Amino acid sequence: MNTMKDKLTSSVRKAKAGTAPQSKSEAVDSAAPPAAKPTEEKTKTRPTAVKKNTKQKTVSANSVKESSVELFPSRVWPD
Amino acid sequence: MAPYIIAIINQKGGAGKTTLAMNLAAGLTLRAKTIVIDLDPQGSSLQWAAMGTNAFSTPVEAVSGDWNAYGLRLKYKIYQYIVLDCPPSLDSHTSAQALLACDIALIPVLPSPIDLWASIKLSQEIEKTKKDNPDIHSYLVINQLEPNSALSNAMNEALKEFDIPVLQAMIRRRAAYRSAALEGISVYQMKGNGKRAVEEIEAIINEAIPL
Repeated sequence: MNTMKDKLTSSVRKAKAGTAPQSKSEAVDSAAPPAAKPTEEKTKTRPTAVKKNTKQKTVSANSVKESSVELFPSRVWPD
Repeated sequence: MAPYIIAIINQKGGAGKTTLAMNLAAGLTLRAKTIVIDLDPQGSSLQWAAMGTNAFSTPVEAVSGDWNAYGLRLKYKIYQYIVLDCPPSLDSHTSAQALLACDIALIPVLPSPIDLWASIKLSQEIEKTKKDNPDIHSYLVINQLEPNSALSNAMNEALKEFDIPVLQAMIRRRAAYRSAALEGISVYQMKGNGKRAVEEIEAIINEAIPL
């Protein structure tokens, strides 16, 4: 019971202490993540970009379109 | 005599603003001419009043646009009590005007850490409002209290951390409040089933509202 009281009271104290300077820290925080985000995005987007390229290469290998996506393929790949 | 304006405010949704506003207004209606102003875009008070087969004991109206404290007092000058059911947000013209217009702000808080944390910002906003509305009184009202819950019992200690006093009168978690909303009535109209709830609302009125 006492633990619950203490926990709740200290959580309110923490929240109270956090709300006043929050605007400043928020400004700092908001400046930091964008710098980190692009690198994350880059690492995330790169593999998909590579995948797309490889796919495109197989699709248009020797200028022959893949038969599976063509209604009237010029060439049908053997199974 | 100028109307006495009571703002029921908390930026946290689901804290019981509408429940307190509607039942408080019903209690005040028994004493003097009262109106509920639904400032919440969700229109919960209006919906509540529209649920019943008969008209709700207290008129409920919505106010929109660029209203201000002076205009509100002028428009509803025939009422002795104006109960403002505020929106669940502090970053709006409506909430700011409600705090400027009111004589008393009642802040329902649930016995939950999340609700307590959220209410801290509101207590700071009220402190700021005192520059422009120095006569404002404000109280925290514990809502949905469960006497046998350890968390509910721990609330009193945690609430001492707030700059706003806590009303001695509290609202327990009761089915009567929800049933009243469903029926479009107040707990005062529930007779036997709403007896304990009525006692709670009466205790709040007697403790906080000048009659």
